[in-house]
Amino acid sequence: MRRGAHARSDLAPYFDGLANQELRLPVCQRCGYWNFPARAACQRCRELTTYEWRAAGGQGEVWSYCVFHKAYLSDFHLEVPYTVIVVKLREGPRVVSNLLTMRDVPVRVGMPVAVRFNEIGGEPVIAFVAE
Amino acid sequence: MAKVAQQGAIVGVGMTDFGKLGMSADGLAGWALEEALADAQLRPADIDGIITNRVSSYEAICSQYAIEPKWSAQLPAEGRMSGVSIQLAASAIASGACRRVALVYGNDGKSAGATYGAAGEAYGTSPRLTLPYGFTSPGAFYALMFQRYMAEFGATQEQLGAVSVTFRKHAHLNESAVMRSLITLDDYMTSRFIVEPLHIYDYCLINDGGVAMIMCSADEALDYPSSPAFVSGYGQSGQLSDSDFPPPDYWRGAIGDVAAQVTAMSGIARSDVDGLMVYDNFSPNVLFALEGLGYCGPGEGAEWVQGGRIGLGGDLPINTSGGHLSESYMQGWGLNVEAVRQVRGDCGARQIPGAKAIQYICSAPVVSSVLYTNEVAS
Repeated sequence: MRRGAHARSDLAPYFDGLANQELRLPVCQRCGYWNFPARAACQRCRELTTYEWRAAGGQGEVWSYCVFHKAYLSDFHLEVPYTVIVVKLREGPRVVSNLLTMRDVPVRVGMPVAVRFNEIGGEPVIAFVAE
Repeated sequence: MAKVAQQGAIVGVGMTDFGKLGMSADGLAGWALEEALADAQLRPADIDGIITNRVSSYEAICSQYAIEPKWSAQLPAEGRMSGVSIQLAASAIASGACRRVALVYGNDGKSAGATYGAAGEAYGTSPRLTLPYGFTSPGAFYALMFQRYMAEFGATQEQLGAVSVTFRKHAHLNESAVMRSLITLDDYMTSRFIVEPLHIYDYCLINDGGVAMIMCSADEALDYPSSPAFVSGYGQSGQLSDSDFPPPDYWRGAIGDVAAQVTAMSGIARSDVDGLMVYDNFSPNVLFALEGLGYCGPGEGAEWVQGGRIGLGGDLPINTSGGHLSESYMQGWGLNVEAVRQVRGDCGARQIPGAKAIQYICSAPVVSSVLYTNEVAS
């Protein structure tokens, strides 16, 4: 049996979840903490652990955001300026994403949002809408 | 009571020019090393320990200068490693592993076209979770932190502007600084955003350059012809769990932990520190450092830096060289040299009068700090 970070911190279950319109996240089987991404040791109890992948509800709030005016990435699908948000999910973990309803609703820290599932360049991604 | 046996001393410092120099990192590091050796009045053969940073290898530097180390190390290119390197060198000397360590840093970031944000330079440990959303670069990480800081505490961009405006004033007095033209708060507010809410003046200046220091024990330094700067305290605290995301406490806990280590080792209280050198990769870090060190409460940093307090002549001058924002981004190394020069009284027009204790602090996922004094702390 393989051990170490390769076995413990795989991202595959997360992307499998997205492809099935589910936000599956790793829950520590020792202490119940929702981690993201999964690491060899749980980020709360700091024990070597295994994870149960559970579907999160998809609700959260904007923890912070920033607006890129510089285009660092070639071949990126959004033109500058574009907004990146960090969402704190109700279950606890934070995720990086984009906001779909940016033009209608000015983004603010603390704004309630809900997840949507999408695909960019064949890779499943998440986006959020204001609730 | 200070722990003198652990203390080191800097007996030589060296710096190259900064700018687009078209030299390799190793070449820049070597130039700085030669300057530091000259400052210490030492020959390469007097060096028996080496720690290198951002160069191709410790071997390239040792071979070039015929250094035969009894102790050697090389740390990764991240700026948070400068303070860690200095701590390691002091520990190596204190352990008896070696007597005189050369700390050697070279950076060809300008000539190499480093942006710290292209796909191959993605920030964090999981690019698959950030790049599809356009999130990249350490500057964006600090933009997220400052956006949340503003929302949490009511701080403003105008308040943050005091940091960049002040450091530029300092750089105006420093012939080595890359950016020396004075700027006003209005210049700051009307400058372009890179990753909003951070303006271009909130970002460090990527340049080519090299920095080197020579360290020996505090005891040995007392016999040196040049006036040494004593490494009277140092500390380190990692906050690496969940480090792909900004820390909700702005590293306050880790900085406070490091501050306590430095105070315990040096016996020197915060109120006896004459100036700070703060790792200003991005200007909000100055606020986070001040709060973590306890100069003000959580969220009070933006107000605290107003009114000339952090400028020369103020209560607590910070980054008298102009720092990363205006002198050059030498990843903490240049700031440590400035601290040494301040306690040696070598800073000319930008000298803090009577500086006896200057503290370097880097807030990052590995927080580190070094306290320099003009006398052995006891």
